[in-house]
Order: sequence, then C-alpha cells, then structure tokens
Amino acid sequence: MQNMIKDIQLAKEMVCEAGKQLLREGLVARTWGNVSVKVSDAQMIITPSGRKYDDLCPDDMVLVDINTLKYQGIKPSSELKLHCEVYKTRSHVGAVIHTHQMYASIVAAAQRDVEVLLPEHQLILGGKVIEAAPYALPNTKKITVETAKSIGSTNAALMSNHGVVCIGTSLEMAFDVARTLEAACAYFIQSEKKKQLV
Amino acid sequence: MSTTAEDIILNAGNYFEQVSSGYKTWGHVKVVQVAVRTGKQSYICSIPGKPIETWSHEDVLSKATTSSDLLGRIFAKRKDVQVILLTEQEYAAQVKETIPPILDDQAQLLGVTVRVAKGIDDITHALSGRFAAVMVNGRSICVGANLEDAYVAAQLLEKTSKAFIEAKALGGVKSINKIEAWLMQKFYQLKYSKEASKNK
Repeated sequence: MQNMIKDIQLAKEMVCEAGKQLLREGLVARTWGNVSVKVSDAQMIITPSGRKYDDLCPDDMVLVDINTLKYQGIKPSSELKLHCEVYKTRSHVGAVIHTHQMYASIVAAAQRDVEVLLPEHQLILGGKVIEAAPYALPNTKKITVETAKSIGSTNAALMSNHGVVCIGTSLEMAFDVARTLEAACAYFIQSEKKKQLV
Repeated sequence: MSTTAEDIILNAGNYFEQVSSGYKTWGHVKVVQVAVRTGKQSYICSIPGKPIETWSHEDVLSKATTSSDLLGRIFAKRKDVQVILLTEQEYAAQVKETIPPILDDQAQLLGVTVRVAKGIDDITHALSGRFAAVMVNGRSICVGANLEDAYVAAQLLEKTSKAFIEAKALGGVKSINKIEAWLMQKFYQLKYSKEASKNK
C-alpha cells in the first residue's frame, strides 16, 4: 500500500480536516457523508456518527478494527461497514470518502450508471463506466455489499438515490476522484441532454 | 425572547452569506423573508420586499399566529416550527408537480415528498409532516426548529428540485418506496439528528 498513514494522531488530524473539506467543497451538507483512512492492515480512522464537521476536533475521530468493527471512543459513522468492506476487499486502498455531491446525486436519482466520456476523467476514475449500485436502505448489509461490488476495478460507485463512494490510495486521491466524478457526471448529463435535442 | 428573535432576523443575511459557499453547486437560494416564533401565539418577521442586507429594527414586524396570512397559518398549525423562510430558488421555482422521494437525504430531512401548494389555503396541507413546500407562484416555504435547520431545508429543497428536473435528461428519476422514505425520516428525527449532542 502506497500511502498508509501509520501515525494514528496524524491520521486523526487528516480525517478531521478532510471532513471540513467535504463541507467546504459542497460535497456534503450538515452531518452527511463520511471519511476514513487506513492506518494498518487491520485498522482505520473514521469520522464519528451524526456530528457536525465544523464542531469536530481530531480527538473525535474514531479508531475502528476493520475485521471486527470494534472501536474505541465515540460512535463511528454509521457507514463504517462500507468503509471496512472496501478496505478488506482492496488492499491498495488507503482512503475512502462517502459524499452526497450534486451531479452524482442527479445520476443516482435516475439509477443510471455514469458513462465516463472524457479520457482524462477515465484515467482518474479508473474506467469508462461508474456503476450505480442498486438501491438499499442506508447502513444495511445490502448497501454495503452491493456498493463494494459496484466499485469493481474502478475508483468509485454511485449509491442509487443516496450518494457516492470514492476510493484512493490516499485522501488526496479520493478527493480527486470525487471532484472528477462530479465533473464526469455533469458532462454525462449535458451529453444526454444534447442527444435528446438531436 | 423577542430581542433574541429579532437578532436572528437581523443577522440572518450574514449567516446565509457565511454558509452558502458550501452549497455553490446545489443551485441558487435567495431568502426574501424570515419569520421567527416568539411565543405560542406570536411571531416576528421581516417586512416583505426589502433586500435582506438592508433589514434594520424598523423592518421587523410583530404579529399574532391568529392572523390569516401565510406565516401566521404555518405557525398556528405547526407547533414544532420556530423559523420560517420564504425563498426564491432557481430550480424549486421550476417544480410544478409533487417530487416523489428520490434521495435519502431529501426523505430524511424534508419529508416523504415535496408538495406544490396551490394557494395560501393549501400551504399547511402541503407542509404537513414536511419541512419544505413549493408554491405555484414560484416561491418556496422552508421551515425548521431554528434558522440553521430551515436554511438547510431550503438548500436541500434546491438540490432535490435540481435532481428531479435534470434527471429528466437521463430518463427521469426512480423513486424510493414511500414507506421506506417515511421510516428514514422517522429514524432521522428520532435518532440520528440527536447524535450531535449525544455522541461526544
């Protein structure tokens, strides 16, 4: 793994700052979304459940065992199972972010896969299609399994009627994937609009 | 209490300015009137028609919830509502039919569907069990337990409206089961929204 953050305190600071960045970039609102980084083969640091990003400090971030889901401190994000599933099935992944970003939400509300039309987007997203996982209620086994499956060999998946999950070897890469996916979704929507005009 | 309520109204413009940058991709929300409950049967509101950045003490009116106007009717019917925002929104203004549950965050925070109120007599029905409604005149009503909640409702209404309209190019939205949407709203209201204070 390229960028595993082994210093737990540093990882907490990075995850805390990443949560605030989600908010600043309009990728989430309120307490929605979540961020994690892997700190060892068996542990990750993740944002807490239901807390406002602006009120968080690094010590509020939660250390979770990826295999047992046991944690120390306050309650972790309710989406922790999805994060753990991604880390368990993809050893190269160092960071996971879950967002409710605008253009991806439009495609997710239509339950469509994203056709990634531009080569530069394909390069960052890791494929020509970003799949939409079938709808399932939040925090259920179905949403965890189906979303992790839909990522496939790419770096993201839509969660139908919900949001997206983006992965990377590092937090920077996961954010880059989220921003690129947003641009790819906007481009895809515009392209579909043009088809209707022809 | 009414001094605090007046502060909320007079500082609302600064607050919206401060937090709106995070929502820049969600569509444009312009708040044209703010009302704050001051008692069981009383509220204060900004006078309509003046830009929010110019509001001063003289622009705040005291009213009773027994008044037959739009704001009075909502406060009288909805005891849980402390703040009402009257807004003009880019995408919500284009909504002419009920938006079904299409996004989880919509269902959790706004309610199962977003209704279009046909007129002032219909507004409390349109808002029943919900925190936002669109009006046929193109304006929207967003409510909450405080200014922050009401403003998030406005932003989420805009995101939901944008998704509903733009998804037409993709073959239209596929909605969530209404019972599941209702369950999500209850879970959000009764459990998740309380974690901010409990999970420390």
